Amino acid sequence: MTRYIIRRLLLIIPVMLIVSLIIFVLIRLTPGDPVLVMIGEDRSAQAYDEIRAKLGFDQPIPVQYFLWLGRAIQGDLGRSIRDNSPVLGEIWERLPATLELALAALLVALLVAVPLGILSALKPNSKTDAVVSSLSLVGISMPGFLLGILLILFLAYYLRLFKPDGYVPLAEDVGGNFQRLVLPAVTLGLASAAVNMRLIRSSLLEALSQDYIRTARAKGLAGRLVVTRHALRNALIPLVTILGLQFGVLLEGAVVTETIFSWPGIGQLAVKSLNSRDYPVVQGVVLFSALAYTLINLAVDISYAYLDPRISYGRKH
Amino acid sequence: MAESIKTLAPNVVAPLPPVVTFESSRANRLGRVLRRNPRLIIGGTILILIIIMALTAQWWPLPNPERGRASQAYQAPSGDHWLGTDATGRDVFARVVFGSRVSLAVGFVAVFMGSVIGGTLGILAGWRGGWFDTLVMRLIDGLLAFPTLLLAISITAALGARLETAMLAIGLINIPVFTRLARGQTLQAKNREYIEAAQAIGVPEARILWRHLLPNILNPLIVQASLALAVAILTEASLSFLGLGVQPPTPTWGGDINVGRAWLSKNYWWMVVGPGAGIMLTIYAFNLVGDGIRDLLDPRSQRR
Repeated sequence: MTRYIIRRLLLIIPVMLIVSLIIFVLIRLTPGDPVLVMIGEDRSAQAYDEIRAKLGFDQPIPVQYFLWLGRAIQGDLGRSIRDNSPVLGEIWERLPATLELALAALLVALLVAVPLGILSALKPNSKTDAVVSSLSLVGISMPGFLLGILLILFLAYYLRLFKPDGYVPLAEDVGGNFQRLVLPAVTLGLASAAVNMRLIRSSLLEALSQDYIRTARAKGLAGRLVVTRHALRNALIPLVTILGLQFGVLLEGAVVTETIFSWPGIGQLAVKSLNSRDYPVVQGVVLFSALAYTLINLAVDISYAYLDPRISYGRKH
Repeated sequence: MAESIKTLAPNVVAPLPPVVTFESSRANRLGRVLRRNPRLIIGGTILILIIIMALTAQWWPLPNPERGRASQAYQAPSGDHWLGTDATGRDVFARVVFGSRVSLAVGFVAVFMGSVIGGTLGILAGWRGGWFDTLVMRLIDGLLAFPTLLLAISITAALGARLETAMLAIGLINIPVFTRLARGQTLQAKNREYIEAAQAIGVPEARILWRHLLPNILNPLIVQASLALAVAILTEASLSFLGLGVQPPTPTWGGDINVGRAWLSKNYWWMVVGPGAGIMLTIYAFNLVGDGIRDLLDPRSQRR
């Protein structure tokens, strides 16, 4: 197990190298001269050359890549063009809001998807199943921003149940935080619930058709126990994958959701920076998200081994 | 493990179908299958209507979707303006009709690009193996490490927000799924007897890939493509919503929703509902068709 984890951690290196190369190419393609932006008032040729040399832009492009990579590895993702603050600092500052939203959304997704998925798998091709399946297809077809806007329209403007946007830190005002958290969390969570519902249904159906279920039934185990102890445990393995991956999807869905609800997380940071052409910040967010996404995938793979003793990572067959 | 990451449907990787020739019995199967597959019929009908709408939009008796009169701004739906007018007096219904063009164009071009490039890379990687396989798969791992929407956003930031960039960006994020799928299928298929037989009688390599391998691994790729269309259109709408797709005044569903949401607090709901319905119906239809095609082509996923 430890060897597997080490091997997987090492495999992250080539992946992140390729990721960094793609981002570097995108930075180079991006229009605009960052030196001119940093130079500010003093537009003399000497000042220009100085900053250019300081940033390493006078070096050949491959050298520039390694300079940039070296800085990125040390946590220096560059500085914001807008206010010259370090990019990593900005990301760090906004991370708690994004994590809070993602966790709340995950909770919504689970609360909706697990009961409905089990319900429709236990009675396949029934009316319940048909309703749940149609609902999940509608959910999959609904863009997050549309759902968010409709929720704002009905729950915030018509019924005035929740606040349409804004953010209050959890530590300052729990009630106020909750009032503003509900709508974005439901928006983000429902989209993910729709996908999970289908997955839980199909994997539980698959599990229920296995031999060990027939054995459990044959030995006279109560129906409920067969489902909870035997089938569900096996059906949950793909759910763990999806949940891990959903977390990535949630981070990404945060881009749109945070924009709609003015939620000050890294998604909103990306969009704001994009609109003000603050590309170092955009690329910093992308690099950061790619690393987070990769690490989550790794965590998912490792959690498999704990859930399903049949999966062993000791040796490749 | 990561095979299922970017697919909405985790069970699209089909076991190899029995060896079929390309034309086999498809026609007489069609009638029977359609009768058993209402989702394909419903989704297909909606989709065909939307495509016809997009192709014939210029001949409809509609006001110019890009120009409006300020005197007619903010009108609620009426006989004259079925879906009301927006802040510059443009007819929302006309914009919804014309907005279908961008969505469909980006969706089809992007998925075509993703499936052709991704499929080709996957087949070659699986067939050749060796360093080429390693190189391709590492690249794909790198692409898969990006959250897709963020990658699309950075590409449009680098290349400028235009129709072509949206197509390119969404096409690119579609490549990895097809590469992985095609590679996996090729690895399974390449040791089967019909391939060995073709090699034994000296059929040229290119011909083996095109005439013998491709038809036998095509079904899962088609299933994936039909599902990818829904996601591609969703991504285009998100890009447009964020102001990174096709630029105004060209009507786009996502862009119009973004503009319309500013007026929600004044209760001008029609500016959002029209384009919203357009997006939802289109993606819903693509999902129905995708599910239908999967039931049709992938025997393992038949609903129990």
